[in-house]
Amino acid sequence: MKPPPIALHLGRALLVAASLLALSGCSTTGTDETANDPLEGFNRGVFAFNQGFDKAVIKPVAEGYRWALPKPVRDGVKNVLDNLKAPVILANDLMQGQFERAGVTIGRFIVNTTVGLGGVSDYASDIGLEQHGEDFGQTLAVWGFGEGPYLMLPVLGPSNPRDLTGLIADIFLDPLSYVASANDVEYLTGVRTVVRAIDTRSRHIEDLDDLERTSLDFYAALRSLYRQKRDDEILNGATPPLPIIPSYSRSSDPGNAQAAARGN
Amino acid sequence: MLAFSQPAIAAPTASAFVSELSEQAIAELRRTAMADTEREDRFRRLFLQSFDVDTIARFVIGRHWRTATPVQQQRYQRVFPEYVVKVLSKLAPVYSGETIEILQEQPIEPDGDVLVRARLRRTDVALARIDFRVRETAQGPRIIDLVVGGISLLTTQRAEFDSIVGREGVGGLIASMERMLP
Repeated sequence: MKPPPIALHLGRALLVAASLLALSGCSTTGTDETANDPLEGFNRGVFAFNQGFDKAVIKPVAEGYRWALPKPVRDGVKNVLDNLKAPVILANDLMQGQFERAGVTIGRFIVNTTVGLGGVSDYASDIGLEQHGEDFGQTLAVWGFGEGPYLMLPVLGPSNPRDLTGLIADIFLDPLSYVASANDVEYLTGVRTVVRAIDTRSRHIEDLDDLERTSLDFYAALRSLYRQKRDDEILNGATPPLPIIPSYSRSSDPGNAQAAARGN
Repeated sequence: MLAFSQPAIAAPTASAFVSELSEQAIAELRRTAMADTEREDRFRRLFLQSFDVDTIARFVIGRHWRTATPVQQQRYQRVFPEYVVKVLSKLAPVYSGETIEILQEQPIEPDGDVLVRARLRRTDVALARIDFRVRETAQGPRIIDLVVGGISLLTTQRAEFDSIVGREGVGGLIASMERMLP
């Protein structure tokens, strides 16, 4: 039996991961004041390409997908894909020491694979086992690795060295990659990725349009959204340190107005 | 969790303020068929009465306030509320039976604000987390920031403004805000 080809890529991928992590420095969360975007010129170029690619390919396909399939079918597809992510989520729950959430992940996988008919229905959410995500990018953050500079990846979109490392590592954490590879059906993991992308895009057609229409600088808005979203995911929804916001009310109360004028 | 159930607190709490406001917002936005201008008018009323607009305006322009000329400062303060109303009424989804369930109050050190943590629900489904940062001002409690699913309106707006000022200056920022308005 020949070694699965995926194993041959492992060493190279680990090298890439190590060099990416070396880029990412030490601060843990991205809630600093700067845009953290030293590669902005390059990133904006990639973003322009991505927007063109989205308009020409991804969005039309996502719209077609949404038009062709009724919502229950699309929800079933999403649920199956979510269920297949369980092993990777579980591995990351455990590596972050989140044993309670690991229990939820196991419970969800068992319930949805059986009662949920192979994951088509998310019955687990109905009985209080609510869905959560985890990935190796978040695990690295929990372990204290910084995000590194903001990166706009071609096609894949907003990222940073930490999350890109996580993206690669999660492929190796996924038992399905090995199952597919051992059975010479590696293309199935590619199919899964493409379907996932189309499904995700089809769920954000109007809101991304609205965001683009109301943004003065869409690139900068997305950059901020991405970094805040990741921080929120890393903290599992706990309150992050909030910025100090001085009061600037120009009230009708003369005392206050004077205080404001003095800059207090 | 229990901060607002303690009998010792006599003044209306931040969560009472938020729940009153969300009831009012639901009542105002409930009507299904509504022209865009009517919707904007309602958003404007809600926004001006319940948000600390001046504080928000100054925070999101950040350090660039000091580099603006007095004329630019005035133009900015005039256009900012209108711009926010426009954006909010465009981005907020059309109301379809959602309710806001308040979960807990959390003090924010050191400035004495209160974070009211809540959840947007549609019947039994939890749609999103919404946190309201509330400050007690001379006019009563006012919202300083909305954090939806971990994304702060203020932080996002500040990042966007900072980027535009960096590329086009304060004048460019004001001009592009004014372009969004009729």
